[in-house]
Amino acid sequence: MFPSKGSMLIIDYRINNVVVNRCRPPADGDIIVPGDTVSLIGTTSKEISYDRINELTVDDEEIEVLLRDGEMLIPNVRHTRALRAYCGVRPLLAVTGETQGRNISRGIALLDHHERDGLDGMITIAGGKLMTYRLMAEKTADLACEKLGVKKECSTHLIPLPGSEKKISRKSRIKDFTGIPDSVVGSTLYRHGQRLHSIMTRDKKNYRVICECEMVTEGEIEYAIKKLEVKDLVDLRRRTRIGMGPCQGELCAYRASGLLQEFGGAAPDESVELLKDFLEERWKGMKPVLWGDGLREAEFTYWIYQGLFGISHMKDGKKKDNTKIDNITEENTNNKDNKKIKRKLK
Amino acid sequence: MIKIENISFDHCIKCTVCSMYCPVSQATHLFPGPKASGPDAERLRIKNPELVDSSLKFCTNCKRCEIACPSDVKIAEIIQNAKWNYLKIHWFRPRDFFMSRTDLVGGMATLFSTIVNFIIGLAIVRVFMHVFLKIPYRTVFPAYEKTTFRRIFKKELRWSQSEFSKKIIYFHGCYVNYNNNRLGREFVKVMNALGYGVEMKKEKCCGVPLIANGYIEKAKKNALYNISSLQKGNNESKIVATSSSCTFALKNEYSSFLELDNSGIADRVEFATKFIYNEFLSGNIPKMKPLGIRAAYHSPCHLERMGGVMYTLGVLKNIPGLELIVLNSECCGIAGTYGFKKENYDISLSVGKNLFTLIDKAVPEFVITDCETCKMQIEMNTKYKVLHPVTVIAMALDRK
Amino acid sequence: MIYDCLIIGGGLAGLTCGIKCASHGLHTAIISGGMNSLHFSSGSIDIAGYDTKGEVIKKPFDYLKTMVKENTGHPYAKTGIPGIRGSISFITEKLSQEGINLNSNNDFNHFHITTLGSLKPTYLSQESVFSARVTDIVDSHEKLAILNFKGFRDYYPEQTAANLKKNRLFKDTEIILGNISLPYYMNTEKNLHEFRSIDIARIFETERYLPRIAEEIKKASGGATAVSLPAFIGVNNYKAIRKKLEDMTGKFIYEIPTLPPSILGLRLDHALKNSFINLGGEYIAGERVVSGSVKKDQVEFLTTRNSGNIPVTSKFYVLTTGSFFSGGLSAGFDTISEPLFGLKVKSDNKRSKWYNSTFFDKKSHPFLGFGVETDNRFNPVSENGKTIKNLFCAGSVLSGYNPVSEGCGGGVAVATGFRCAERIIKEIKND
Repeated sequence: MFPSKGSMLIIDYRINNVVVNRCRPPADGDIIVPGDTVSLIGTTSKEISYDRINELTVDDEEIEVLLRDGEMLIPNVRHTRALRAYCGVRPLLAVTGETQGRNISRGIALLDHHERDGLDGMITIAGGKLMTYRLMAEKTADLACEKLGVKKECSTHLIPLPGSEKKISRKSRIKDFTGIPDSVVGSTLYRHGQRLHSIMTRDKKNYRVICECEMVTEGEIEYAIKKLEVKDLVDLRRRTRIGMGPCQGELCAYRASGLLQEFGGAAPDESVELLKDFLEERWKGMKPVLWGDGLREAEFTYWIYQGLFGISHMKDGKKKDNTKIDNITEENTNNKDNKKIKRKLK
Repeated sequence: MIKIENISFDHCIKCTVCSMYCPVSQATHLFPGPKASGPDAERLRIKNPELVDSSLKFCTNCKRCEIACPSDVKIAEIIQNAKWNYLKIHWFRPRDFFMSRTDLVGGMATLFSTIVNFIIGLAIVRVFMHVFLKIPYRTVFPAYEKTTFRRIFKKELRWSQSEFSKKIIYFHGCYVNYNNNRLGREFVKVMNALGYGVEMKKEKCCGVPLIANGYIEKAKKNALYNISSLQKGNNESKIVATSSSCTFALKNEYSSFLELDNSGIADRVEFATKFIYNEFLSGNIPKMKPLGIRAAYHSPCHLERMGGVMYTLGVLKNIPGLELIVLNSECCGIAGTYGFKKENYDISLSVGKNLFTLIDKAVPEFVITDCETCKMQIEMNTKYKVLHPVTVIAMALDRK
Repeated sequence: MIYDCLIIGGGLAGLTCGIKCASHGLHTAIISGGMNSLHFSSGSIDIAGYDTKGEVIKKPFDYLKTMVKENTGHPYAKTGIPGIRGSISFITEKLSQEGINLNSNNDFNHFHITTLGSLKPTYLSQESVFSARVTDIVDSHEKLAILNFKGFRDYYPEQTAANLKKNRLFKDTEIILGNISLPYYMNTEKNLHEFRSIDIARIFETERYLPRIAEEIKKASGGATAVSLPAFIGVNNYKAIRKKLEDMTGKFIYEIPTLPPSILGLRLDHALKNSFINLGGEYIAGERVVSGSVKKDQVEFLTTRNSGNIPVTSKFYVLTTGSFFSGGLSAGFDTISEPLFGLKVKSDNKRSKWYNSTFFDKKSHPFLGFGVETDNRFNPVSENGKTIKNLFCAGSVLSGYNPVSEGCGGGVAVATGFRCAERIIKEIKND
């Protein structure tokens, strides 16, 4: 097994509407993929040791490589805001003795250890990506069934994912929601497909846009919290795309934390802790690309949450509160001049 | 692929300041505000052009959002561009067609001005326009002149202009040509008093109403005509205009909106008050008699966007005996042809309400403003007469 | 266009400088490219909130006495303590002339309650945030109602209450939560995509709604003697509105600043602009300075976007263009520069040194302290190492301090803006 780190760069908007891929043997930064409202430049490949697979950071050199190669594919790349950079580790499997991460196939490897190593009753499935997980499950289950003598056909590939059971045309849907901008309805439809029916009701909640970059309404957030097993704001982001637009949660993070406790997803003080976690999670991806407008955005977000909201000056209820702020007024009451000040103020 | 010049939305920090200063979203819930309609929705429209909203039509293009924006996002431009895409689908609208052809309609109307002015004043005609053309019943159209300014200039004014060695080129615009000949005469008088002779080149409507109504190809044609016409012959003189919107189009929008090369004229085009201010500054101040007038000044949105208000104020402060009350910057709500449409009429009035109250509170004798459509709106909705700064200078020159 | 003093940037520093210059009869103009960061501020003015360890400072001026000796690069060390005091009393007076009273807690800091229910130290606050009455209410644990406007997405009172209770001061305070609403307004008149503090402020500014709002407040606040609302009770005549509401409800009304736009900050902005214009200053909005031409040790002229071939000139220039957000500093891939004059900037040329690994790091972030280097007179240094004599710098474009972690952004803006104005006035008088 090769743990191979791959980094990606996310660009503020869709600079391309179709995948642009460089025709050369796989190398760093040779593909730009549009994904919902953004474009992704990927990826790098860097072998790392096992002890580092949990503390991942995107290096400045990787960013430079991605930008340089991305620019060759689409020149706008360099002039557009990079929203985030993130990385993950691929569990690459060198089945035929490759020594370089790049040369190993990203395909799926299904190993029957009975045939391979004489270990009966053990199967390994490896490689692949989130996109191919259902196929991997199918292959694994098929092999297991074969061994167990189960004849039943696998039906995974026939079951549509939730929300895509029926195709609904955007046009007809948009007409149903007069008063809500098409951009909001269209975005919800793109994310939730048929579930739109349960989300977009003629309720005031749907007229309240919480995430203004990705057009997530209060109704969609309520649906996610109550129906889609959302436990914290990072979950909520994965379900709705809040905080994934250019502002990276500057306005919507606070709103979403407020709604999370309103809809019963967390206690009020817990929701503030979750808000902090969420912003820290956003920061992980923002800091490697902290220049230009990204830095401006980060500064602004910092002003709001630290400067205005004092998020890290929150008291921990369990600890003894002995910060001196409370003494300001206490001391003042003992102050001889206090009465005079009060009179002056009145 | 998206051009690099057109990605100013990328600089948006989502600070919400633009929405705060938008006069339209204050007046109506139908407009989602400049932030939502502009930079926010632009990303989605790039993803899927179908996500264009009909609510875009409520934008008056007053550009107050751009003045407010700390990130230099061309919010109004983004909205206008998206609006055009929306209008492409709904291309034939008889009212908008005639409203945006100010030179075509004006040219015909001045020929039969007495009849036209009479007819559009008739109640039955206004009911017809209200129902079929969706022009609000209560709108008072500016009256058409009996002749055009060009004819007057040719007949009466042209001859004396050769006495002056210094020249300027006057871009009169449709309003002076068809609706307000007097302002043209006054402009010539003021220029002569400053020692400049006035020349005129052939011109077509600058294109502002065409741009506003989404007739981009026609606007481009007009723009190309004007650019080449203004460069013919005398190539050094300043091109001076009395309409702030025409100036903005010639100077900025031809290149920024219509993507045409106006570099041959952009630096030479000057709004009247800026030109006069610079003359005043260099000591060229004609003799003016004290006016003894109390007037309120309203700064038009487009002039503010051009950074031209300080020049107008500078000029007005030099006029003796003019007691000037500078009104807080508010939008009058007319926004060119916007307020002349039935669906916008109430919004337009609601936007302008603040301004009308300010004017009433100031109790002036006159209101001064640089823009012709602001003038119409203020005259329709307050009891005050509205003067152009050039008119005020001409008055001071005339005083005996 | 020839001015005595031309200020680039219309924020707190620029406005303070402009008001001071204009009040001495100087021909002053402010060129402001977009709205300033008062629109996102708490509307209070901090002098010094936290020391280097992050502990709350009780008496800011006492703290500064030792701080300026140790940290000579800090803008406060250049203005001097009397300079800070002078500038603060100047701006307080000018604001009160425009109807905004700022209260201080004698020489002590006081706190304001944040949206999330933490307490932040500050020095000057509006009446709805700090007064002797606030001290009374807090000290005697009077019943407090934290209310919200129904449907307002930028404030959640439950969070404020939950965290506030964790502070010793509020442990024994009974807090009740509630909503106020105006159903008529919610249904038909308003755009819910644009339902921000400013929109609610406009509801409060509509006089005929006030009795109904007062009724709602009474109903929602139960027996509480003090009511806190997110800061939205009017922009321009908020004092009268607040007084009316207090009279009608018989309750003290407190304001908590929330997501932008900040109404508390907006009040300061409007009052300062009015003060500047009333003193004869020219406030030029919507214009942008594109570049400045420097020859030898002097700024020759400025080019603005619309000035074309007519350069804008002045005897003195003040640069108050702010930090990254407002474009006073610009961050490239791994360099930080000052875009108008190319001034020498104090920063780090390795990007990974600009920030810390966690967002709410105890040590904050180095990039917040980056800025233009100046001498003790606030004259900056050009790229070739020469001091520019007729250009001054003030506000957050300066280096040497962290406005957030030190809690001193407002104070530095006022003190440095004021000091630059004093220098210019002196030089023009000597001419």
